[in-house]
Amino acid sequence: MKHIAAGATGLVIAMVGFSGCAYTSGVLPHGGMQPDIYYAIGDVLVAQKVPVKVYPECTLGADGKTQTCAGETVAGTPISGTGDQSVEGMPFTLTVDGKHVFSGTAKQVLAEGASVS
Amino acid sequence: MSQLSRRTFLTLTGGLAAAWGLPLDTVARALDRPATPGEVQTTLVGTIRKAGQSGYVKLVQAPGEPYLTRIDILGKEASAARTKSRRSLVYLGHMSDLHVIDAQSPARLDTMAGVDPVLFSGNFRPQELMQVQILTGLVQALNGAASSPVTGAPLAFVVNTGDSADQRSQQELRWYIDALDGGKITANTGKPGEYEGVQVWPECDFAYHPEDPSNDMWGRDNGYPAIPGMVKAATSTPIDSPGLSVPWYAIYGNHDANYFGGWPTGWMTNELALGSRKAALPSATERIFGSGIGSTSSFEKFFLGSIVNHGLSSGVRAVTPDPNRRIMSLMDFVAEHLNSPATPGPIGHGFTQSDVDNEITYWAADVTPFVTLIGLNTCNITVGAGGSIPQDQFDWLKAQLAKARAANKLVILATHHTSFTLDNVAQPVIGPQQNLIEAEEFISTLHEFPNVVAWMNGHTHLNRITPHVNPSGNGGFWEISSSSCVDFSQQGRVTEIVDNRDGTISIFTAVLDHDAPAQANYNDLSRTGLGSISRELAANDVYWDTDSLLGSVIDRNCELLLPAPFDMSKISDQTVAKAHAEQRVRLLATGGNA
Repeated sequence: MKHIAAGATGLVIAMVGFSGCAYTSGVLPHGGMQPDIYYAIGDVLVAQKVPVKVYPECTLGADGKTQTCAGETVAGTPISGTGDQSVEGMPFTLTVDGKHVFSGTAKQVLAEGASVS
Repeated sequence: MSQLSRRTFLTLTGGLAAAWGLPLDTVARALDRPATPGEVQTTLVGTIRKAGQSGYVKLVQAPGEPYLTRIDILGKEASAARTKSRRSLVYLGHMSDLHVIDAQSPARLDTMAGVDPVLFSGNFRPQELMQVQILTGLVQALNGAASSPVTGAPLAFVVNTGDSADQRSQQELRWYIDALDGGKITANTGKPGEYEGVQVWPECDFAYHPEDPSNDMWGRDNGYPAIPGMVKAATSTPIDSPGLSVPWYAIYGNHDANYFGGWPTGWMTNELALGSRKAALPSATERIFGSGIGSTSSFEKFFLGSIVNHGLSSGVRAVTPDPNRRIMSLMDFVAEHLNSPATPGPIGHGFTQSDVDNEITYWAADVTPFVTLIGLNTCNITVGAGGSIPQDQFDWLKAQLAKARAANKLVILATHHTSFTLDNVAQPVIGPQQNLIEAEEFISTLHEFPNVVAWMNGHTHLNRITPHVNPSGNGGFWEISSSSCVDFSQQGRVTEIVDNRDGTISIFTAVLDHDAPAQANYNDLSRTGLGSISRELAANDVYWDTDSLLGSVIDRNCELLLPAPFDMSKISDQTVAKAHAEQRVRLLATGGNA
């Protein structure tokens, strides 16, 4: 029994180890938070020439799906983003000083950034 | 060298000429020339982007990305006057996650990619045979960036933040060190002149077959092209790496410390690596693990026994064994870095013989009289890919930081793991345990030392820049994470710390592509030709989120401001000028052409 337990432990260790090789699990930042929405917000703010003091950092909600992102403009007004990483394309909205500046998917923003127009 | 008196200049010139065996007038001319921003092929000048957004796409050259000024830590707009009086303090290169792979090793469980190509996306990559070519290309790119694109300051050193040997193979380790030190490498193991592995075995549907991909999931399902001769060229053609023209430093990544980045090793993995049987089908690998569970003896014994006993008839192939595939021990990694020439140096690349003798896996180096580089080992060898810092190393770090602060030295930290991935506190079931420090406490402690200005790392294969604002509201430090050399975008960085002489510091960081052209030509199987092909194959890997691997524009080429951590005039112009002179002459001697 002891040896079977050791074998099972070994398999679990092995599987955890293997998953460590995969970007999708073991090295994913913030315990499951996808970086795409954070990246897309950065690209949108720069593309729209928003003067930024603090670029938004995002946090993952307790539901494991919703991301809430907060930053600040040079003028001291808030930058707010919300998105859902569980939905295809990772849709998000972005407001600056309460004004809506963008709605779309993070995947599309990143695809445009990674390709020539 | 206007900061130096004539007498000092002449003494310095004579000393450096003698030290490097260079003609005095050559050294004098080089040092007398004013530093001007280098014409460096970073992504400031040109980027590489996809030609389309769907299907298998080619890569093309695209416009450069200028520096984006970030004031997240400074908290106010930067003074426009800072550009007029600034001086360079140190200019360095950064590479991470090199993942040099011996894909023919029986210990490379590539078949797991056939079980779940997303979960096990690191177990097989279409471009994995060309890592030495990529690494050599990045060496060339960094050598070409010998003068800073901002101030013209000479490149002082390169830091490699780990995951150098993909599966802890001694051969992978040697290839990587030789590529950075300089040497001729044929990236083949087993049978000389022949590749024995999943990219030519037709039953391996999970693998890309460059000769004819029409029946594998890469060509059939994802449009990967036929590239006849690629495998042969990648594994049979010697690669001549010039080596870096500046000293380079190395630290552990989880792939250097744990088998496949997360698994503790024992004698079984070594026996597997040295053996003559390699799994070709996922079912064989699964059966091997299944046999281990059901055993009445040790897991390791039955794991090995089963792969041998299953023989050749159950998805297992015979391959030529190779003693160089040995799985290295934890301290082999340190010891092998000491098996290195004096140039580019330093011998040990941060590690020392004392470290080998005392089983120390981290170090500190005074890379200039006013900058200390600290290399940590954040890997958890118990299990898992994530990292943490053991208490004894953490105590040592605090002592080093205090020492640097007392001496008015800036500190650059190098770790493999990022602030998002210092979260692994797995403890061994048997043997000594100690407290493991996670990100929050680590960062909080760094804030006690304002002389820490930059933290370089990798691990996530993502370009990312994270500001860490001191909770006191004054100052902080920048965390700069680099992408990998194996997955798209296969980039490194050049980074320069500049004193603006107005109470602020700027850290300029720019992403750098390896030297292969953007557009791949499938008929060009030279080292750079294979580099272009590798980048294109990586960019199209559907099992990696390749668009996000590039990061955002706010994570690539940036000027990162922060308040000066102390009165920077305590670092005299003369001290800086001397350091630059030494670096410039070293580049002259090593062909770096600064």
